[in-house]
Amino acid sequence: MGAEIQNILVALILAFCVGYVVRKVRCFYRNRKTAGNKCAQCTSSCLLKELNRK
Amino acid sequence: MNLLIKEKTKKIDRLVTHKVWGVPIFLLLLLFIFNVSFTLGTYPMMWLQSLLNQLSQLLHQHIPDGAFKSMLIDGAVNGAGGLLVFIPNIVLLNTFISLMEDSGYMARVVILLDKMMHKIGLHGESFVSLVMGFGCNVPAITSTSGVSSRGSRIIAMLIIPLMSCSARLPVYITIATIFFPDSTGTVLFSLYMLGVLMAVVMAKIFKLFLFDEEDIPFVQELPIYHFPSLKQTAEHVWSKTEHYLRSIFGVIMVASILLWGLSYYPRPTEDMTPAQQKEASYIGQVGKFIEPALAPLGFNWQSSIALLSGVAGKEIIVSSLMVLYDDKMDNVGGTNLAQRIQYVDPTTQQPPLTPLSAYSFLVFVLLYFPCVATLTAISRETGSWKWGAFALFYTTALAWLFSFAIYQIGSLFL
Repeated sequence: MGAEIQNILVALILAFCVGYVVRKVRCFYRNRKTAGNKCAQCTSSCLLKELNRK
Repeated sequence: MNLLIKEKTKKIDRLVTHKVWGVPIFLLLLLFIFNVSFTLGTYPMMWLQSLLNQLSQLLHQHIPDGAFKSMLIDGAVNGAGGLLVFIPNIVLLNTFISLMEDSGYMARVVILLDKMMHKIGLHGESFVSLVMGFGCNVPAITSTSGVSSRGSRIIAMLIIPLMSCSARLPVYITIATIFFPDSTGTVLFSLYMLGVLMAVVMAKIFKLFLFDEEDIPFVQELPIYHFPSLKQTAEHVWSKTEHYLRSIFGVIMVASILLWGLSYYPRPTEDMTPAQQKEASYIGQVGKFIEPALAPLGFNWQSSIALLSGVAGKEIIVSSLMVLYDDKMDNVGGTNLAQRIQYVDPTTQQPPLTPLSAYSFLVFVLLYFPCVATLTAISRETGSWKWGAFALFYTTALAWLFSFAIYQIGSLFL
């Protein structure tokens, strides 16, 4: 695997990671603005699900 | 049959909810659980570490040198992947906690500690939320909506971040197993107790200066004791482990790779050593900028950056340490963070962290600002960003003061 291919792969993965963070922040902000408990769903959906089940 | 069980429940309750012996029994049980979890968990932990080392070596041999190889080994395998080794400890600890909850003992502990909390002015109704905070601070804050008095509710929300949530556990395990291998369980126990103690003290202070209201008694029906079912315990433990695994392969992996990118670029000139390159990287420049504020606590720039990355989620601190102390930095090789974090720098003759600064680091992680999700939850539930901001500043100030005192006073003796 040449250095150029490695650089392209890294650029793609880093772009995906930045996109992931942007999506999380947008989801977080949108839910915070709209309704109640949804804001926590971005970060601790499993725990909230568990809580509701109990 | 039912009468017999009720009779047995009464007999057990006489001992475990005893006004003198009840609390010491609970504390001893916790100490036992922490120590057993770490003693038993050491072996599978070592196997997982050896598997990770092999994977790292395999990648090292088969992929030619370059940015992608570095990202894969330093960012993904050593960074986020390094957290996989703590799964046995987390499974064991969650199994014990689940057994305590499902058997009906935890409900007794709530009642037992509630009596004590009332004596020092903490509201009974909010106590269940505090206990929930050991799992995750966010649902714990949301659950305070059942507290009738607004003052007590805000106090509960402000002190919940001091309850050591499960996201902080990997940080404690990592640092404690490296620096205190013979007393890992005891160190963990001391951190949990310090968190509870600080919550109690802060509640008292808030009650004195912010909200002076009367207590409302706490009422809870106690279930009878029973043997937890294997299925229920397994479900409980799996639910928590799954959450941990999802974090590792989700947000932690992304954070590790981004942090790797910030520590890999800009690329160094030929005459730079790996350590100099790290310092000249984007993250190194930020770390050097914030280092003076945390240097009196015994933290270097890598530890400072790891703490900063914990704003998004406390689990990220460990993967950040693993990325920032990568094996190229000090040429000690291997994927073992223990070797890298204790490596004595030939120029300064100092390791990055000593047992004293490591404990100061753990106390800082315990007390400093809650994650973004917790702060948002406080602001939303109180209806004002001011309370969120207040929680951020008071916890960080508390963490700084405590870590400063531990490191500076400890330095006089050690």
